[in-house]
Amino acid sequence: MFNYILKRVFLAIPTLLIASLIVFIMVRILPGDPAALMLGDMQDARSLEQMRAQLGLDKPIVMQYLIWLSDMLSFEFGNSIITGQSVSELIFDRFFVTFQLVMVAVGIAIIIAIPSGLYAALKHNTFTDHSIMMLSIFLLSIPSFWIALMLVLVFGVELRWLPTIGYVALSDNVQEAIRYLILPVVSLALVVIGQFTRMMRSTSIDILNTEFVLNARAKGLSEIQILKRHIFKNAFAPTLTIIGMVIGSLLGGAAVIETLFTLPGIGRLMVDSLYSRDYPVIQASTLLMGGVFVLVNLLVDLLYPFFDPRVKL
Amino acid sequence: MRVIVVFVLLSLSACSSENESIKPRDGNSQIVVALRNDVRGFEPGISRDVFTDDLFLHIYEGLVTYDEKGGVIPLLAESVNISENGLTYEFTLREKVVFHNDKPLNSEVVKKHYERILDPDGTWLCRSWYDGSRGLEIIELEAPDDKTFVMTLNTPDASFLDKLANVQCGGYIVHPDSFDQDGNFIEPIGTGPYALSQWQKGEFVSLEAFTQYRSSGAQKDGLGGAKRALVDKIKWQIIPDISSSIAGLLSGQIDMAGRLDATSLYDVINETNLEVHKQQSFDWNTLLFQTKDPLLSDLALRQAIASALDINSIAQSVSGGISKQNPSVVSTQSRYYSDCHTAGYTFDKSKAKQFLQQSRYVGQAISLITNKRYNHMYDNALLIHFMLTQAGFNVELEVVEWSTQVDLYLTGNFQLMVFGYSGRTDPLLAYEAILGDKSQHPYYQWENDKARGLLNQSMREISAEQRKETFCEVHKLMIQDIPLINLHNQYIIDVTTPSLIDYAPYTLQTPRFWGVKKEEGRRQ
Repeated sequence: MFNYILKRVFLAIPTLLIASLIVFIMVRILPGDPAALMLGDMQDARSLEQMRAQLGLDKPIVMQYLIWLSDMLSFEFGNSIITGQSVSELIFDRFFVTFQLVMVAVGIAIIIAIPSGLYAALKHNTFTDHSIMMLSIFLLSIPSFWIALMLVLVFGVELRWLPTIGYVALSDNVQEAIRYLILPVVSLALVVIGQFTRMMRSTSIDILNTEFVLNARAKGLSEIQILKRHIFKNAFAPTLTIIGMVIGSLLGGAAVIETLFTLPGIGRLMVDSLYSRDYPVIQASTLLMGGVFVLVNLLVDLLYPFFDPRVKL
Repeated sequence: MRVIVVFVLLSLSACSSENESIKPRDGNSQIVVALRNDVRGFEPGISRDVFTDDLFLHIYEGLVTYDEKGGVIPLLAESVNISENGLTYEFTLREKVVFHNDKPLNSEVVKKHYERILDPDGTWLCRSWYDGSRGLEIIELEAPDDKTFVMTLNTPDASFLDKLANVQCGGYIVHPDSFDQDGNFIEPIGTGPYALSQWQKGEFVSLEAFTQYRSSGAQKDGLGGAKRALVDKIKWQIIPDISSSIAGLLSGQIDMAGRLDATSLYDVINETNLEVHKQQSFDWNTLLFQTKDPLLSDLALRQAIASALDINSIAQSVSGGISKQNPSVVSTQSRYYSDCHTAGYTFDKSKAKQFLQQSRYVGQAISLITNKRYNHMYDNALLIHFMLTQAGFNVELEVVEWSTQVDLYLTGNFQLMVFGYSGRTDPLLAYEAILGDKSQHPYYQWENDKARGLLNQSMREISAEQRKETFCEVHKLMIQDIPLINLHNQYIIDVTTPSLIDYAPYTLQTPRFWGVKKEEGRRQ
C-alpha cells in the first residue's frame, strides 16, 4: 500500500504543475489590471506604472511564472497584492472554516442519506421508496442558495432562533460556533442528502438483484445480516467515490453559502480575489484546491478495499 | 508679506475645553454595521476602496476636511493662513490633540508625515498631485514652532486645500509610530474618535471609542466639527451580499447597512421597523463616448444619441426618484453648482432623427459596455439601450465583469460605456479626471485646449465667484463637444434600525458614526 501511496503522490506532482501553469496563464489572460483596480479612478499613468512595478507586474510573464513557481516550491506563497497579508496564512485560516462546514454537512448527509437510500432500495417500488425518491429529487432540484435564503427567512428573520450572519471559531466559543454553523451546514447538507440517497438507492437495488444476495437468502441468512455483510458493503463503495468527489468540489465550491452566511471560507476568498485580480491568492488557492482534490481521491481509493475486497491496491 | 486669514474655527471654546470621555457610554454599547468588502489594510492612500475609506474616516484625521456641503474646513488645524500670492499655506495646529498612542500632535509630526507620503520612492497614490508632474509642487515643508506647520507651493492652486481634504487620497496625519524602522506600516495610529481594536480578516473590523478624543467644534459638520464617540464599539461586519445585509437588519443582527441600491429600497420600504435615509452624493454617473472611434468621432452622431435619451426619466427610474438629471460633472450638492450647469441635452426624438441624418451613421452596430457589479450602472445601461434602440440605433449591450470594464476604460477600448466617477468636491478635480490628452492616456475622455486653459486659470483664482464663472464656461464647452453625457449624481440609500439615534447620511457617501448612539429599548 505504501508503494501505491508513493506512486500516487508522485503522479500528483505533474498534475499540480500543469494545473499551476494553466491557472497562471488563465489568470493573466483575464482582462483587468490589479494595479488599476487598487488605484480606482484616482489613478494616473505614473501611479499605475509605480504600482505595477511594486507588484512585480512589470516583469515579462515567463519571468513572473518562474518566480512564482520557485516561490511555490519553497512553500513561499507571497502576499496578497490587495491587502498585503501573507497568502499562506490567509488560505490556511479560510480553508479551515470551509473544511469545518463541508465535513459537518457531508457527515450529516451520510448519516441521513445512506440508511434512507438503503431503506428505499429494500422497499423498492413501494410508497416508501417513492416518497424517499421524491424528497431526494426535490432536494437535488432546488439550488442551495434558495434553501439558504428560506432558512434565513424562517429561522433568522421570522423566528429569530438562529444567527444569519457572522462566524464564531470553535476555539473561541464552542456553543456559539455551533449556533452560527447550523444554518449554513443544513443548507449545504440538504442538497448533498439528495445526491447521496439517490446514489445509495440505485447501487443497493443493483446489489439486491445479484446472485450472491439470492444465495445468501437461500442459505437462510437474516435480512439484517444480508444487509450488513453483502448489500451495504457493496453498495457503499461506489457511493464513497461520489462522497469523495462531493467533498472535493464543496471545499472549493461552497462560495455561495459562504457569501450568504458571511462565513470567511476559501470559496468566498477565491471569488473575491478573482474579482480584485489578486493573482497570488487566486493562484495559491486554486493550486491548494487541486491538491485537496488529489488528496481526497487518494483517500477514497485507499478506503475502497475495506468495502470492496475485490479491489486490490 | 501680507497674510490673508481664510479659515478660523468659530467655536474654539467649545472644542478644546470639552472632555469627550464623559459622554454617555455604558462600557459595552456597540453599533454593528454591514461592510460589503473586507478593508484593504489600514495604511491610508496605498490601496483603497470606498469601504476602506469609511473606516479611515473614523480612525484618522487630516489638517482640513469637508463640511456638511463639501466645503473645506479645518480639522487638526485651528486655522489656515494663505499668503497673498497663494504660495504659502500656514497651518496653526489645534491644542491638546493627541494620537491613539497618547502622543501629542505637533508640527514635527505633521512635517514627518508629509515628508513620508511625498517621498518619490513612496507609494502614496496621490503624490502626482503635489510632485510637479501635473504642475503643482510642494517645494518646502517647515515646522517653525510646535504649533505651526507651513507648506510652500511652486504655483498657486485654488483647489489645494480641497486636495488636502480629499477622502480617496487618504492624506490623513498618521503618527510615525505606525511604521517600523524600515518604514513598513505596522498599526494605524491616528487622532480620530475611534481607534482600531480588532481586525478579524474576512470577518469583521472592530473600532473602539478613543476616550482622549477632542472635537474641533461644537456641532457635527460634515467630516469635522463635533465628532463625539457615543458608543463604545463599532463593529463593521463583512457582509458581501446585500440580501444578507437586509436579513441582518430585519433580524436585528446589524444596525446599519449603507450604499444600498434602489432595487434593495423596494425590499425595505415597507418594513416599518427600519429607517431609510436618502440623499444625493457628489459621485456621478455618465455615458462615455470613445471619440477616437471612427463612428463616434462624428459629432452629429453623438448629438443624435444625446437627443434620443430621456435622461431625467433615466435618473428618476434608476435612483427610485432620489436623483434628477445633472448634465454637469459639478455635483448638484456643490457650492459651485449654479443654473448654468443645468444646461444640457434635451430629449427630442425629431432632433435626434435630424442629427442622425446629418451623421455618417448607417445602422452599424455600436457596443455599449456595462457591468452587473454596480446595479445602478447596469440599470442606466439597460434604459439607455432601450431608448437608443427605440430611436433607431443598432446598439448591442455588453455586460462584462467590473475588472474587465476598468481595463477597457483604461485602454480606451470601447465605443459607449456606462461608468461612474467617485465624487470630487472641487470641480477642477472632477474635470481633471476626464480632461486630457487621449493619445498619451486613453482613460481621458475629453480633449479641449480651451477648457484646459480655463481650468489652469481656475487654479489661480482665489475668489469662489470667479471660479464659479470659469466652471460655467468649461461646462458650456463640454456640452458643445459631447465627449460624454453626464446622467445624474449617485444616490445614497442607507438603512438603519430604529435603535440607532441621530444617524444621518452624508453627501460624500461615507457613513459617520460619531454623534450616533444606540438605544436598545427602541429596537423594533
